[in-house]
Amino acid sequence: MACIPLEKAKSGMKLAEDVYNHGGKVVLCKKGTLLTEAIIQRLVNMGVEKIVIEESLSTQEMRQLIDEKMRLIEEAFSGKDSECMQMLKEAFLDFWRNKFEISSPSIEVQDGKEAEAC
Amino acid sequence: MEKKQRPADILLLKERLLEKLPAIPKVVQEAWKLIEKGNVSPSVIGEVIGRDMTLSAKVLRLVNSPFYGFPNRIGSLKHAIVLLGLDTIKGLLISTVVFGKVTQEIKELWAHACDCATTAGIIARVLNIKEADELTVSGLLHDMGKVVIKNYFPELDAKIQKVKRRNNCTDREAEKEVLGVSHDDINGWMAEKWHFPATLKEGLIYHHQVKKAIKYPIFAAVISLADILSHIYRLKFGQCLPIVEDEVCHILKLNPKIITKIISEMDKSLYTFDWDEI
Repeated sequence: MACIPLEKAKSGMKLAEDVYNHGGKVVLCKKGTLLTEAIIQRLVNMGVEKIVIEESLSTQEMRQLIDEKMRLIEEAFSGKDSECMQMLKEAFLDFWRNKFEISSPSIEVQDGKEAEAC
Repeated sequence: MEKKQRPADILLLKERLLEKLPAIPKVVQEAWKLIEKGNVSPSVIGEVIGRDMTLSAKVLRLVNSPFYGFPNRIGSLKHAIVLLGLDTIKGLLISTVVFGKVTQEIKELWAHACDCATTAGIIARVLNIKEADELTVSGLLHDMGKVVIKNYFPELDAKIQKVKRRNNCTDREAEKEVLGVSHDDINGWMAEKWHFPATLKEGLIYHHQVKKAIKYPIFAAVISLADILSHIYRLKFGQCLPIVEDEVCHILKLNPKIITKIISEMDKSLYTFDWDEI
């Protein structure tokens, strides 16, 4: 998922969130819609500023991304054991795991090496 | 190993730094004077700012940016002022001065300032803190001391970057070693010179020492949290994170559920693309 200004939108991108009108009450374009030039133009005309699109990543790309995030977080938080820092760390680890929908526990980082991919 | 700067050096730095600060445009000065007098209508302020086309455009661009998350497009300065309040407008005017031109050198700082501003607003809304807009501006300005050092003292900045790489430490630790003070102290000098409101000051000065924020600890705590969340969200290889004190969690009564909510809001709002100039 990525938030982008409408001027960066291209046809072929898929909406990850509903697009609302000015007042934030009327849905102009449903989540899941594939954008076309015509749709983008219509959104421009209606004054929409930004949209949230889905990023199309392959499973392997996702796995790489999550592995990298996990490793960076483990590294940046090493030695920072206070209550607050630990809470932030756990929240981010959970968040990235959920975001990339990896529910299997098999990709925990162990001793700097990743476990076998399932 | 740490070379302590003598107080005299620090005073000298303060003097030189405040001298070098960019001149506040006439229109901004005028708007400020009116704001400080108090009891002035938004349309009068709007009229004054409106005389400077570039400035008006910058203010409107910021107001309509994702930081504030207003559902409607804000077309007039008067409307912007009514929505944001005068203190926030004052901070916004200052941010156009501090980040006047986003050069290659300060691009990274600008991107982080944008993230932090958006995140501070999100935190305020999730926690039901009513000063969301003021907090957004604090987020935008929380590293203004760094911007000034980069822009006006490139030789000192080069030293700071060198120390940072050598010691693998945070900006703040490297600044302390080279300058004897850090960007939050410099924020304080600037905030004083520019007569910032006390709420804004606390966020700018104490976002790394929330314990010391006595008057408005919530402000300092929100900026501290917004700062670190923005850093973690875009974590880079070898990056050294600042420490967030446990006080932040206590003051804001944080729990894992709230933090997760804030992170997912950030994920929807922070731009993936670079956000060039104001």
